[in-house]
Amino acid sequence: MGLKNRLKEYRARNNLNQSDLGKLVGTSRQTISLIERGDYSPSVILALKIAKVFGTTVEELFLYEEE
Amino acid sequence: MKSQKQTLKFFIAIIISSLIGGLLGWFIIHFETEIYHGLINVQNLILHNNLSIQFFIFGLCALLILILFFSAKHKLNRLNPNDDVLFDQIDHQLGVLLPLISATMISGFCFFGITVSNALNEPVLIGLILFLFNTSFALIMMVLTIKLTKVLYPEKKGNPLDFNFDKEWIKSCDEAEKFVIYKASYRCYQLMNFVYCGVMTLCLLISIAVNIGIFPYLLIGFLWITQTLIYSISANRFQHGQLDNVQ
Repeated sequence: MGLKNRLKEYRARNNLNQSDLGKLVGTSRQTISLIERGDYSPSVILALKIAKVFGTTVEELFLYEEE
Repeated sequence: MKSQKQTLKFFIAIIISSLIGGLLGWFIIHFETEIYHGLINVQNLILHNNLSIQFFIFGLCALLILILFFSAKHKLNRLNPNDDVLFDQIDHQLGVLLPLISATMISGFCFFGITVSNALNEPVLIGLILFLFNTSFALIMMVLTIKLTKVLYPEKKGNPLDFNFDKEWIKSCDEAEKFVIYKASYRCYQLMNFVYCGVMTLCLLISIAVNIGIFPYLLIGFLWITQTLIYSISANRFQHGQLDNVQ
């Protein structure tokens, strides 16, 4: 059971580094790094903010997989 | 079935702890004189070399703090925004630096207490100067390190010399950083319960050989109860609408 994400892929596609994305969604670079590594599951609000930056949906960015 | 296993484990742990306690008690009773002299020797060693020990510890800590601080500062000056590896390195260094500075300051208080209690045998003035020097150094380094952290994380707010620094700092933390603080605080609370229990047991065991008086029990008991009450009262308050996590 876990939350996987495609944050790194979307970030690369939009030519954004972790700091830039952090600034755009109002979090630190470290938080973006934690989310990308799958070490932290973001809140609904943060997930929505990230999806909005990339012009996509939360479901497209985050994938919930049951074992 | 799982519950039965856990109960069994609990009782086995209690029996093993009792056996170890009994064994230690027996050991202390049989080697009472040696333990007594050993403890007195350790105390005398600290009392007679108090200032030298302080010089050595503060010197070593100050050196380590300065090396870590200037190394982090140097790395920060040549940090490229896309260099995630260097960013993590600096972050890690700052993560070591802050607790090291705090530990240096706490040990300063501890050694100054020893100096005061040994006032008849050693010059208190040198101890006081050392204490003031150590505290000032730690405070300056703490402020500089927080400023450096703010360069690394520009979104962080708060002046370290302001009495409301903690409140402002935590307000500027994002959700993941707050989650880290919650996890670390709860781990600290859990471990401190074990530490208090362990230190209380140690005092009980030592008191078999040496008369340590009633103050260690009063002090540990006071700290233990205070921690438990602060945790419970805060948890109760947060459960009844003061969580303040609405964004």
